[in-house]
Amino acid sequence: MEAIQNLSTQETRTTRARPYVSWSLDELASAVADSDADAFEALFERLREPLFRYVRELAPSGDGYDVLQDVFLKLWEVRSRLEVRVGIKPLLYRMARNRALNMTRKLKRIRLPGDLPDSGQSPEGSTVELNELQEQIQDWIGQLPPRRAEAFLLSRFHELPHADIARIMNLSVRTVQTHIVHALKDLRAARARWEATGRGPQ
Amino acid sequence: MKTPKNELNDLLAQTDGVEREALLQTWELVGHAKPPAPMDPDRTEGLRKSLREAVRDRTAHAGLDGSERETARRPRGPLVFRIRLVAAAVITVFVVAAGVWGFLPKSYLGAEGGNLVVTHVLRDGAQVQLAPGARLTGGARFSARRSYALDGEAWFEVDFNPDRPFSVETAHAEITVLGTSFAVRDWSSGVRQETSVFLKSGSISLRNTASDSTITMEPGVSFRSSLDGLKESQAYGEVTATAWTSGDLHFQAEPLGYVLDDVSRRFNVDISWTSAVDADRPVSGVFRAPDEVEVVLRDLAAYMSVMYRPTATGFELYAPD
Repeated sequence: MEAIQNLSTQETRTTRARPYVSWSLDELASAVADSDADAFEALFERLREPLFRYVRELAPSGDGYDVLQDVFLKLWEVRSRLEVRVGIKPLLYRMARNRALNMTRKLKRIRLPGDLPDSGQSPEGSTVELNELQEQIQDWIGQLPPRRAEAFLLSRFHELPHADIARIMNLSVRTVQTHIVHALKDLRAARARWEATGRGPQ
Repeated sequence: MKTPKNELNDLLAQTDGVEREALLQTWELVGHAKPPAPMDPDRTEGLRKSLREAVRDRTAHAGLDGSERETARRPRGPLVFRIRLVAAAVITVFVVAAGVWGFLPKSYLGAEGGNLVVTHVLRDGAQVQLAPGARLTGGARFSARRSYALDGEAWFEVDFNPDRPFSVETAHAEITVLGTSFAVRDWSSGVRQETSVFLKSGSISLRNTASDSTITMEPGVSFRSSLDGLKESQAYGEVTATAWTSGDLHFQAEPLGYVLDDVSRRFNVDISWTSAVDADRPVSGVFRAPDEVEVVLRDLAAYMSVMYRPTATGFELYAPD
């Protein structure tokens, strides 16, 4: 037993020396389930920005930092019961969603938190056109029914698979897909209306 | 693993070529949205530090990491083990009992599909008929209010009890019952994005959750509650609101897109249409307990002067060349 415990300790140390950057999220979650505080911090670093963005989309007026702290503290508390098989990313998104919605009490409008000046090139024109287009996109997304917008943003910007979105939003995959297609149709119609005013890309 | 774009491509595989191209272009265009600002470095560092401290504190207390890990692995004494076992058993019994006795909310489900209407008697004696696919949740036995959340369509028969108000919440409205029969429709997967309410008898208070405006409805009246507020509705009268309870589909000047959404849900098949089909054109009519989707599609297509064809997951309406 003594020998086995020593071996186990050595293995743990070897693990800690490994570069977490090359680990998958679920590998990190496995290590967190084993009470590895370094893996926990690596997981936080890996997911903090997308989770923060998601919380701001759902609850623009809430404090995303509080939500993040709450989510990760809870994760550490329940680490021994983590079901890594179902995926840590949808789990954390779902935890963040619950807390963000508790904060706002009700999902009203989804807001795309695009508040960073972008130096990228316009797809079809000048920077001025790009700025106007970017504002329009924010506006169009804000006009979508909230759950439709949420499903769409999770797919388009958070790059989550439909099955994960379904898990996060507690919907069927088919419903998620319906939301995404309808969102695209709404956005296309909004773009057509905008272009009809002569302000769209020429 | 498939990328979101690949998943979208699969999703649109059965869509008309022009429509598909337009939607894919829209997907690309939206990618030009302004990127979000990164997290504030100072607050992020503060968050990082507080998490580290909390992990250290909680681990030290729990004895589950680093030097404490060996302590945690130390064999526990038989007394401690027994106490924990008894505590776990007590908690388990309590949770099960709470569920049985009604501390926990309960879910009531409609049939999975088809024309079958399921009637539930709720814990407080109220009766509800649920449309296929609908879900009603809530009604904790010892709660001061009789509060339910509805996703779908339902018909309620409720006795007024001033001590225990009965309320139904949907995505777009909150209905408080003052003793009554009423119908509610709001499908989370639906294209309408609104709650329709029809009141047959008694009185209900309807609150629009977006604007926080409230009205008291009179019998025989229908209202729609959406992000645009509350509006009286002609389309959701008694016949439409109760048609599904006898397996019928009834539409009163509803856009074709809405009608197809209802038909899709009733028969659990995908129904799409090409851009040449006027999905906004109002449709009125009734289908008496249709047992096949094609019975409905055939009549709708004839009325709209379009055709329909099977796809991998359902049907598509299209305009002939």
